[in-house]
This record gives sequence, C-alpha cells and structure tokens, in this order.
Amino acid sequence: MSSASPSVKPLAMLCAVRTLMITLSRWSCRGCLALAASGVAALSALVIWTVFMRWVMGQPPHWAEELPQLVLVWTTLLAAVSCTRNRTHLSAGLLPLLVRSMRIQRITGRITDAMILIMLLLLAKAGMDLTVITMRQTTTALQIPAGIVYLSVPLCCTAMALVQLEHLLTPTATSRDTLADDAPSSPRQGDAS
Amino acid sequence: MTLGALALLGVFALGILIDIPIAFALLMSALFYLLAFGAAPMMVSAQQFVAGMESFTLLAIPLFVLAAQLMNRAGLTERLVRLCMAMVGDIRGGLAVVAVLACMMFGALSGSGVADVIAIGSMLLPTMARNGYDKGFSSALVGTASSIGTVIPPSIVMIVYGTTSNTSVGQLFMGGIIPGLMLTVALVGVALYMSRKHGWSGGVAARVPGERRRALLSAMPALMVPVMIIGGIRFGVFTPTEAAASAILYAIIIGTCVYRSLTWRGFLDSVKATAETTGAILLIIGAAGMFAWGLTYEQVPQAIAQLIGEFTDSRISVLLLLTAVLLVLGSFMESVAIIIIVTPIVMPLLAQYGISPVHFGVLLTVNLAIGANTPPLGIDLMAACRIAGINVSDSLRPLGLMLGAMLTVLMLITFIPELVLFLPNLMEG
Repeated sequence: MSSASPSVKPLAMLCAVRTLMITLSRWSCRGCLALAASGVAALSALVIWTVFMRWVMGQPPHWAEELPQLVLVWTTLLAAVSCTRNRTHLSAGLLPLLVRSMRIQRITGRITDAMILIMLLLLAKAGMDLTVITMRQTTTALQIPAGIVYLSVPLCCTAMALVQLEHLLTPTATSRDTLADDAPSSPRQGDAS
Repeated sequence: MTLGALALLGVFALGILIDIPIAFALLMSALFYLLAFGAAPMMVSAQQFVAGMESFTLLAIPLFVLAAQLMNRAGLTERLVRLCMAMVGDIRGGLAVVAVLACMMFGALSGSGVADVIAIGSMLLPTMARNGYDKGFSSALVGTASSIGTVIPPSIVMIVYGTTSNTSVGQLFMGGIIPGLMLTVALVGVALYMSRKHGWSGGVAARVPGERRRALLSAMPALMVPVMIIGGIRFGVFTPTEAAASAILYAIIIGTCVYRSLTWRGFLDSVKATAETTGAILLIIGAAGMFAWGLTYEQVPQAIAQLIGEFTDSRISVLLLLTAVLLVLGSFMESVAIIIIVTPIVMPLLAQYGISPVHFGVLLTVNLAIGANTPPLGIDLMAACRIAGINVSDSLRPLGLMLGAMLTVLMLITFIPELVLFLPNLMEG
C-alpha cells in the first residue's frame, strides 16, 4: 500500500483538477445561458420601448440603436458558450459521410476540439488587447467606454475555451456527442433554413 | 487568385470537411490568414468579429425567433391547423393540402423552415399516417412545404442576406410573397395529384355545422400576425426589427389575455431557446465578418467576377450558373453559412450584370429552400423524416415530384423577374 501511494497521489490530484474544471465549465455555461436569456428578454423590451417612444411620444430614445446592439453582441457570445458545451453550433455534418470508421471519427473529433481550443485562446488574447485599447474611447450615444462591447470577446472566448477543455477531458463515443443532458432533439438547433 | 486567398478558402474548406462548426471554421481560417500572411494586427480579428454582429437589422433575428416560440406556446399553431382542417380537411387528399397550407401560414409567423417542420410535422404527420397516407410522401411534403417558411415573410434567411448585401429587408420580404404563394400552389397541386392517384382520404369524416366559422374566429389572432408584419413594413410603420418586437408584444398579449395558454414557465423556456438559437446563428455572422474582411482584402470577389465575365456576358447564363452552384451548395451546407460566404463574392457580379439584389435575394432563398430538402444534408427533410420515424431514403421517390414543382417555380421567377420585383416596386412607388 505504501509503495503505491506516490503514484496514486498525482493521479488523485489530476482527477480532482479535472473534476474542478468540469464543474467550473458546467456552472459558467449555465450562468452564460441565464444571462443570454435575460439578454433576449432585454432586447425585446428595449426595441418595444423604442417603438412606443417613437410612435406615442414622438421621439425615440437616444440609445435606440446603440444599446440594443450592445446587448445583442453580449447575448450572442454568452449564448455561444452554451452552444459550445451542448455542441449545437451549426456544422456541415460531412465527416460521417466521408469517414465510416468510428475510431477515425473519434480521433478527428479530438484533433478538432484541440484546434478550436487554440483558436479560441488566440481570439481571447486579440479581444483583450482590443478591449484595453478601446477602454479609453467612449461610444457615441451612451458615452460609455467602447471597450465594454469588445470585453465580450475575451470573456466569452475564455469561457468557450474552458468548455473545449472539458470536451477534451471527457471521454466521448464520437466527436458529435454532447455533454449536456438536455441536448436538443432537432437535428441542429438554430438552423435557419 | 493569390496565395493568401487560397489559404483562407482552403483552411475553411478543410474545417468544414472535418466537421468543425461553421462559425469556428470561419474564425480559424481568418485567424490563420492573419497569422500566416500578416495582413493586419491580430486585434483586427476581434474588431471585425464584433462588427459583423453589430447591426440593428440583425436584431430582427432573435426577435422573430422569440415571437415564433411564444406563438407556438400560446397555441396559435394548433388553431391554424384546425382552421385548415375545417376549410379543406374533408376533400380527397385534404390532409395533405392542410399540411401545405398550415406550413405556409406558420412560415408567415416563424420565418424558419425547421421551426415549421417541428411545429406542424409533430401535429400532422401522425394524423396523416393514421389516415393511410404513405409516411415517405407525408415527410417529403411537410419538409418541402416547411421550406416555404424561408420564402414567405418574415424570413430569417432574408434578414441575413439583407444585412450581408446591404439590401432592404422590407423589399426582400415583399419580393418573397408571390414566389412563396407560387410554391404553395405548386405543392398543393402535387399533394392533390398524389393523394387522388393513391386514393388517400381527407381525414375529416364529416363537417360539423359552423365549424368553419368557429375555426376562422379562433385562428383570427394568428392570421393577423403576417398582416401586421407585412402591412407594417409596407406602409412604413415599422422597420423589420420593430415589426418583430411588435409581434412579440402581440404574442404575449394574445397568449396571456385571449388564449390564456402562455405561462411564465413557457415564457422562460422561450427566451432560453431563443438565446441558444441566437448564439448559433449570429456567431456565424460575426465570424463571417472576419472571413469576408479577408476575402475583400485579397480581392476574391473581383477575381471571381472577372473569371465569370470572361466565360459569359449573358445575365440569364450568370443567374443559371449561380442557381446550379447554390443548388449543389444547398444540399451540403446550412443556409446561413451559404449566404454569408456566397453573398460578398456575388455582389460585384450582380452589379456587373445589372441583376437586382432583391431579385437575386429571393432566388437565393428559393434555391436554399430546395437545398434544405435535398440529400445528403436536406435539413428540413431530415427533420420531417425523424418526426415520422422513417429513413430519408423512404421519402426520396415522392420527393422527386415535389422538388420538380419547386424547381419549376424557381425557373419561372428566374426568367420572369417581375414575379419577384412587382411588389417591391409597388412599395417603392
């Protein structure tokens, strides 16, 4: 027993880190979806209010275009975190038609997950640099720092990267398997066709 | 074409082939292009990414999706089906006609083909099966009829095209009305022909006196939605975004005060589902902003326009060539992605050959409606077959006739642009 403990300890630590990562990813995803849903409700309220102000009061609010656009960008990126976790982003679905072997599909899935992770981290870095620079500028209508819009990129890309890491740490049957219990029953959610 | 352009397009194509989500494949190719060719600082990628999503017109997408979700939960869909049943349900092949008409009417509420398939198909496909209709035929019919939802206004596909090409969404909506109605008539014709040929019944045994009037009164609030949206845009009361917001308010009022079927839980589920759909669609649009920047920087649209210019100088030949390309792409790729990739490339061509962007926008929408039912990736057909519990291959035989009818309409509106442009011109006049 005593001879096994040195190798068991790092393994247990790795498992603990993995569990922590998965929990963090799960909760950040739920939080992002809740915020995105609030964003959708806020968007509706803002545009309805704009219509009311324009037709009843005769003057639209000064933020009529800027504020809903700001909410839209944040809503989209926050919701994208949930789509990343549930794997409901739209994809062509060509791989199963081109490759029959489940093993190759699984390996390809792992490679693409790793590529997406790197890409998201690069984008988060670019977004952070842009946010820092634009924090000193103000927007036209709301007079708030312009960086607030761009801040959504580093924050949400980091959250998506965390989810990708969870995908990489979780053993799945194929690349298209989802981590969520409530994955949509439609072929690809969000399809506009 | 330059090496940079080839790298941009090559990485994207590879990403699509290995099943990287479309938004991530677009982002990946644009980032690779920036890193490898140093066309601009990396910060440009984040800036173009956000700029792609910052549009007041794009706000209409989550708003129309939420409006459709709320109307579905408020029970407007059931009332539309009941109305169609009361009107034509008792004739031979009546259930098939009901399916087409209900899909067309729901399309005027939702703007999305898959939403139509799920809402109408879940209700009608089991009923059609119980009444002896062939499951392959029913699935193909519901799949193709649901695609009319992308042509009849409001249409999410048209909003994406309008934003990408800087074309009036109001004019596109008006331009979609006649082709949408033509597609409906064509599919009703096919439905009646096939039903009578195989002796499939109506489904409604005997009409109850006064049922038509009651069904019409009950469905009246649902029928008012397209009138409000199209009328509001036509008479300059609303922009498409404001029309969508008004539709939400209308759905909430009807669902809570008139039908009393919209609950707080239903509202919460609707905003959650809308958020996920928004994330999936608009992320592609943002990513495409980066990708399109790269294409423009490498002058890819101009190169393609020049290439086609050397090949032909006929406007119709260009339209037919684009139609062939779109039909092929449509059977492999998702509509929003096709629009995002194809639109910046074809815009110089449209200007060069004097093709109206509104005319092309509607042609593109009809092309994509056909593509949404063409294997291997006919998303509307796949959804309908999944609901019916059959393989896509079971629906291929009856599908041919329906796609033929849709292609006929496509050719008619290609060769007679007035069929598309009559209402938008009337709106301008």
